[in-house]
Amino acid sequence: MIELYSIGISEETIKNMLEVNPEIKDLSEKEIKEKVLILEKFGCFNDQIINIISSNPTFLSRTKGEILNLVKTLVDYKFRTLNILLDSNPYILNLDPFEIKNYIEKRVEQGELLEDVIDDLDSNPILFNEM
Amino acid sequence: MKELLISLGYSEEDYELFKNNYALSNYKEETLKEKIIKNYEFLVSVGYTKEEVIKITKSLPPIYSYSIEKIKQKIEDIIALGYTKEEVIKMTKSLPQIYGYSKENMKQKIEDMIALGYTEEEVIKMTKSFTSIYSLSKKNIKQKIEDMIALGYTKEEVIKMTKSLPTIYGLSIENMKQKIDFYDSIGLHELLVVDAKQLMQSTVLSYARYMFYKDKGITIDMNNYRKLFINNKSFEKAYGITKEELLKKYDYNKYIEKKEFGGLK
Repeated sequence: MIELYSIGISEETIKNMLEVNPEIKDLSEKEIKEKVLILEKFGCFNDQIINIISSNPTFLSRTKGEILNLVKTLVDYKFRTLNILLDSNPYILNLDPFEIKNYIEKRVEQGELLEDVIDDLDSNPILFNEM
Repeated sequence: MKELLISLGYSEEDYELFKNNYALSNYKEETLKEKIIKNYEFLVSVGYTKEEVIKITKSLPPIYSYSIEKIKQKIEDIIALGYTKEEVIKMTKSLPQIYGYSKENMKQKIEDMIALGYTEEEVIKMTKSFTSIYSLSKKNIKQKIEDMIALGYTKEEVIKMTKSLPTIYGLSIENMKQKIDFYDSIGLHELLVVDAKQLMQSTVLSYARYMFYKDKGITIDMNNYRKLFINNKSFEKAYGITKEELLKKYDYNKYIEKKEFGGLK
């Protein structure tokens, strides 16, 4: 967990993170670093990485494949500025592609334009919590 | 076993997860396969889609070691706390670990929250919206309240904002401090009390919009703070600048560096 300290997460917060996701203690530095690098790849800078990881420690247990599939879904739906989206609502990273697709398709079926649904989600990331 | 899991919709990677799970390792392969099929079909019959069953069981593999009666009882126990069946389905999708919590533990959590200042109805409502409250210890929740008090809010204000946005209990203090420091610096300390949901916007974007309005001679205060949070499309239409252009022009990182030398100019 040295990686968590090195990016600037406090000891107290790491304790809280372990409470929410005890699996963190079994993760290697490489596995944690991998998640940090993924977030950097999406344009997240250090403060955002701290926000995301410390607020959603469950994210650290997801596989790289799961995260990349999720992000691909977001990109396919033309969400831009992923660093802003994930910093706004770190819990988006716990979703699976099918949950996002089902939510969006349901709203489109109800008559909304796809671009309006995407704009609504992008502008109000808390809506992802309804999925 | 691998073939069974793949036929149910799991990946090869998922098979490793189940293969290495301690709770499932005590079963003979044939017995485990039977349990997986039975429990999988039962969870679908309860109201989960197949994809949701896969997601829940990956998050909580030991659920395949539970008897059907145990799962049924768990659902009934949670309903008895004050939720509908549909709400239980939604909550367990969000936090599958609930299936591992005892009825007594969950009741105690509700009591703990009532002791902090919420009504039972408020706790039920908050946990529907942010089920992860059930995974947080009393100490953790109390600490969050104290941290928020240290950042300048009264206990009553913290209770009020967490009723409106229970997710606050999940956000780290680093995250909360970043937001509160920013909104304090622009005179919007009351924002979190009055409209906590706006916390779910990245400070990076709030800063960029604030500076944009400042350059336009528009002062943001508690009367017009909603300007910081309008939809991207509306903002772009009104002002002719995309979110990407805005973020590039008003760089939050540079603001942070400037802050170290004494506030916004």
